Amino acid sequence: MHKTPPHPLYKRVHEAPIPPDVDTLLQDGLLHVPADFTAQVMAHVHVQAHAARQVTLAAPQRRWPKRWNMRQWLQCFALLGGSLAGVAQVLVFIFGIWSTMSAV
Amino acid sequence: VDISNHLRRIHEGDPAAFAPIVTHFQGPLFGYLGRMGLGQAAAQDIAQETFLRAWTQLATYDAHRAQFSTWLFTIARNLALNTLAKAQHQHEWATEHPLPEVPCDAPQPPDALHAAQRRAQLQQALRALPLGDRSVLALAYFHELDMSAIARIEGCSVAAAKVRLHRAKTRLRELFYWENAHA
Repeated sequence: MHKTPPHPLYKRVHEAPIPPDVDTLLQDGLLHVPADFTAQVMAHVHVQAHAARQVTLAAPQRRWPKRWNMRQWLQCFALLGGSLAGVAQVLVFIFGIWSTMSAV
Repeated sequence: VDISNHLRRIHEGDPAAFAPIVTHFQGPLFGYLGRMGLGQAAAQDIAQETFLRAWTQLATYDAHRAQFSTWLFTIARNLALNTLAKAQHQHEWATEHPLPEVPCDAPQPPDALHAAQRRAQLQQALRALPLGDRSVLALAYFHELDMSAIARIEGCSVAAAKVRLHRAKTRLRELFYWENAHA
């Protein structure tokens, strides 16, 4: 199959090298590293390492919160009420069966 | 730099052993972030964040799965892409409210002026590249990473990484060819 050769301008553009000064800039990376950069990072690292040690050494936290707020009390009462209602329903059911059986 | 030796010292409880790792990778990392088209301040923040994340997540690094440089540059790439994506969102606002350009009165030597212009041209050309292509190009200039490591960082196949690199270099050649032709 006949293949059309690329246009000379296309070849010139696509085969042109990246200019050497641009290549050097890319190599150098365009930015400079601050002189104290390692020290800055290590300062943060030491703070984090110290904090991690503090967390490890800290006394275990109380499992329950010291003071409950209103929302927590309401949730507790709702749960307790629901449980009591359920138990009462079961007892009524058992009493119903018992009374029927005893009547027979 | 023997990274594995420093990592072993860190695992034994010596945080100071992290310093040679930072010193070794800070240059390549700033180079990568610069080629990604980031400014000095943003690059500094990202580089710092990269090293701090590497420090806090060091326990998750598995030397059998990847080289340390691959792991570190994956963190840097993700942070850089997040920052650049946010910057793109803010770009519209910035173009609507451009800052006034203040000319510098101080005389500059012609060489320094030319270098600064060339640097600005390159930054502009890099920012014109799609993020994925730009990232592969930026990584390719760090010679410790081979094509398979670059593909791993980018999360694509080696063939796809090669295509992206070729596309990025061709685009740069085009941009600079026309810049030079018009000059």
